Amino acid sequence: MIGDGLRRSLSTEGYAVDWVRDGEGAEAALRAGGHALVLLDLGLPDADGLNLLRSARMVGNDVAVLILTARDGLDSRVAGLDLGADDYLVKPFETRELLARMRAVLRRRAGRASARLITADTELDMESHALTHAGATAVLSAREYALMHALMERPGRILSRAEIEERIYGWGEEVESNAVDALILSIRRKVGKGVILNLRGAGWMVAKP
Amino acid sequence: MSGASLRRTALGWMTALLAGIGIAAMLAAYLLARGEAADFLDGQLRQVALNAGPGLVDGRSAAQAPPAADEDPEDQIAVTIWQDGRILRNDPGVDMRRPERLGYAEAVMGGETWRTYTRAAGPVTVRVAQRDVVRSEFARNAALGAVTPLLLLVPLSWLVVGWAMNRVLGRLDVLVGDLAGRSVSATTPLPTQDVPVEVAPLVGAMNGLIGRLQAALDAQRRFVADAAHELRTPLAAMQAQLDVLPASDMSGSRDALAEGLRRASRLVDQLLRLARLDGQEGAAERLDLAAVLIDCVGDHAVLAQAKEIDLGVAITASATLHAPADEIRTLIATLLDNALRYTPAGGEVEVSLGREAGMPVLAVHDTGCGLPPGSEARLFDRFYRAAPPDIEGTGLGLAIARHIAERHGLGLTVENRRDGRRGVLARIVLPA
Repeated sequence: MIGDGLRRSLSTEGYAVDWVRDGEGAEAALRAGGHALVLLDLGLPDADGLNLLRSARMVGNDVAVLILTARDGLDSRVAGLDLGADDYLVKPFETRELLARMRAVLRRRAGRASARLITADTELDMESHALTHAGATAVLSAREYALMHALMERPGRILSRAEIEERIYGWGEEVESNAVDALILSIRRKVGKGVILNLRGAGWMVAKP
Repeated sequence: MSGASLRRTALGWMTALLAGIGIAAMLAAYLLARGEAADFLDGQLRQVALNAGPGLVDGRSAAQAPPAADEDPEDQIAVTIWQDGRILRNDPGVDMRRPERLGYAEAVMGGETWRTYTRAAGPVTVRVAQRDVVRSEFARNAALGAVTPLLLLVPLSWLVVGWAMNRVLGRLDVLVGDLAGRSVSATTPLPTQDVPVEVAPLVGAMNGLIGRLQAALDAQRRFVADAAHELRTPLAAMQAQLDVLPASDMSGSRDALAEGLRRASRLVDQLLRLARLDGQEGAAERLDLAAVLIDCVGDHAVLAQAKEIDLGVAITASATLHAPADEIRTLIATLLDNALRYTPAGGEVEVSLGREAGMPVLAVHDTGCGLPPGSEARLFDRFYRAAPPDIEGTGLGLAIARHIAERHGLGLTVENRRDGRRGVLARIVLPA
């Protein structure tokens, strides 16, 4: 039932879907190759999905893999990622989230080549210093870029004012008292308020993918 | 109701035994002494009779001699001498009639029972008599002598038995303390060393019970965990199907369905978390509470922004804690989650880590609807919900939070704010 629903959703989104329902079929499909992304349900009827992933990686298959599972214990999550899965989604999930994660995985895969930092709805191009958020794109100044880069290196992590100042000012440089607020204001003006989240008293962050 | 006291039972039996032995010893001593005394006194009577003759008559009668001060007149021997049928001498208290038979005899004279010995030598007949009372007294004294030390033993035995019992039972106190101080989830067996051999089977049986109980609890926990896991796949399938429904179609029922699915998924998540908490404790590590708090706040930033809630953090003290990180994160996340959930859009949630009376305190203030009066007592019960029914929730969050807090010795309280503003204040007090 999941497979059927997903196949229809993915087709609607414009993906071409090969749907196999057992370990044997999965192995054959992995061997055949040619896929941009594999959605691997660990609850296959006749095989352990993790073993399937392990053997695929061992023969050098580098296809992007997103694991779908009912098990969310830290150990199995770590095991999946250690085996070379790109991401991990615990059932049940909304198709919107799956699609977002698939996009993120694909972008990350592509981004490795083109040097981009990518979070849920934000991309920072490290060469052109272009910031894209929710459809709006703008090129950042050097300090804006340094600030955005610091935040996007670890999405979901709050950076305090002092931490940000340390990142955007060199040694011995005079720190202006409200420089951080001014930079954030100007970044928000360029691509939208939601690009940087403010936690009063703690600092700023960007949302996790 | 508990059974008879071991100590009292042992004392009772000990006393009964000593009393039994005492009575037996008394009887035996009495009978033996009576026999001995009879032989001895008979010999004495005979000796007196052999030595007494007409010569005794010349002397003063024994009756006329003044009795010695410590001499009981009853102890005195009465000697009667006849010669040719005529009485030569007689002591008071006995008949003057000459007995027919020679040798030993019992006779009642003057209302008392006497033991007599009669000897005839030619024309002279001598009868020596002694009161029977003397013999009984002799035996009684012997019996008393035998029973006295045993009677003294009774209180002594109480002391000794009481002391010994206290010692033995004192060793059980350790066991009692261990049992009383045990948490429901403790799985270690009770120690069997230092337990008296007789009590060891009881302790063994208790350990067996603890083991079986633990197995039952484990099975229960595994069942909940497995059930929750198994529910996830069908829920995911329903979600996948729901997501391919065209959004325009019957959008009211579609939204209701989506909402129901979200609730079911959340419930499954929390059931799993609870089942996991009931099991083995995770690996504890040294945590910087401020860092964990900042992380948790970061996790909730998107939610806060989506609801336009002003989420503020004030860290004025540092605190460390030795506990599994994911449990403490769950605890803080639950409080944050509740605060954001029940605070309406545009509200304010204030998270702080400070120090009160020397103890680190983590507090979450919200500007939500507050707790209805009377809900405090049930707030931490599983599936209890104090909040208005139109706000989604499983009723498991605070049950999970309290579980974690208790496990790590943290004081968790949730109450209405007391600073005049509407809303809830949740506090975690760390041990100093």
